[in-house]
Amino acid sequence: MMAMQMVAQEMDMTGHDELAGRELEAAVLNKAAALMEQVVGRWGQDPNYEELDSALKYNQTLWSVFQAELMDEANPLPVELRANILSLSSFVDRRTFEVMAYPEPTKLDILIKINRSLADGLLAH
Amino acid sequence: MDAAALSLLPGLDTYAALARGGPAVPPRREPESVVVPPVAAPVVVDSASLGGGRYAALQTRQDALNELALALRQEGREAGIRKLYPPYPPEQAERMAYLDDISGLRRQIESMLPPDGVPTPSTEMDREAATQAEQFSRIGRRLLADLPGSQAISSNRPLLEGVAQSDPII
Repeated sequence: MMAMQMVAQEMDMTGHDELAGRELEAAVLNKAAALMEQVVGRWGQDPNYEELDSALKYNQTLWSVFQAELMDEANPLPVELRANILSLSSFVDRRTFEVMAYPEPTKLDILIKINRSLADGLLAH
Repeated sequence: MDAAALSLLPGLDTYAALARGGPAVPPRREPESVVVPPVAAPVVVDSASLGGGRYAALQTRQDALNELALALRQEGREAGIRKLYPPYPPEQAERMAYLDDISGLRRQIESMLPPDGVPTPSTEMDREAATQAEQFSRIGRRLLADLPGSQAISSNRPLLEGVAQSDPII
């Protein structure tokens, strides 16, 4: 499934032309997760390094946005949440490097779980 | 889990210290303007508009790390080198010095080392880190669910829209 279709699908599910902040974040986290799942699913038949790198870089871009904002001392989110997500972002950085240098798609599983988990939290209310 | 407990989790507290060091919560700042890329374009943002260039700095660091990762991948594929962790043989002082010279990489590489500086088998570290990260993600899910109202992680909607609309061409 093309990435844009995934986002379109997320938007359709909300029933709005424009997603609210939490829903938009959840949609992008899920999109990144879906891209990585696609890589894992295809890897056994036809390892595609370009696809792997694209999915990793897309996820990396999203997490960079979070990192940049959460490292700002003026960020209004609760300290515990900031610390939690910054810690996860540190892990995402390392795992991304690890998978990129030594490709092993099953190692994407934890990155997928993290994205899905945070997206669930954002959509919880 | 409180902020102090985060420091007890090796490998997951690099940025937590920054959050712990933050002052009392000030009023929320209005997001600064950004340039939104056209639909289906690669992720391109006016990086200077986010956090005084912090986003740009992160991207620069990640580009350097990606380059190194791809070089290691190529090296491994060509020579059939077995995976090492950290990403260089500990006895190769020349290669270590070369990598240390690359701006921004030294700290990243050091952060990959266990406290005593002795490389540990990667699989064990991977498993442990993944388990911790999974626990953290569950905590993160709860904390996000508990956030009041429409509060989200990022306040920079145009930038997130740019990421959402970009297509990594898969």
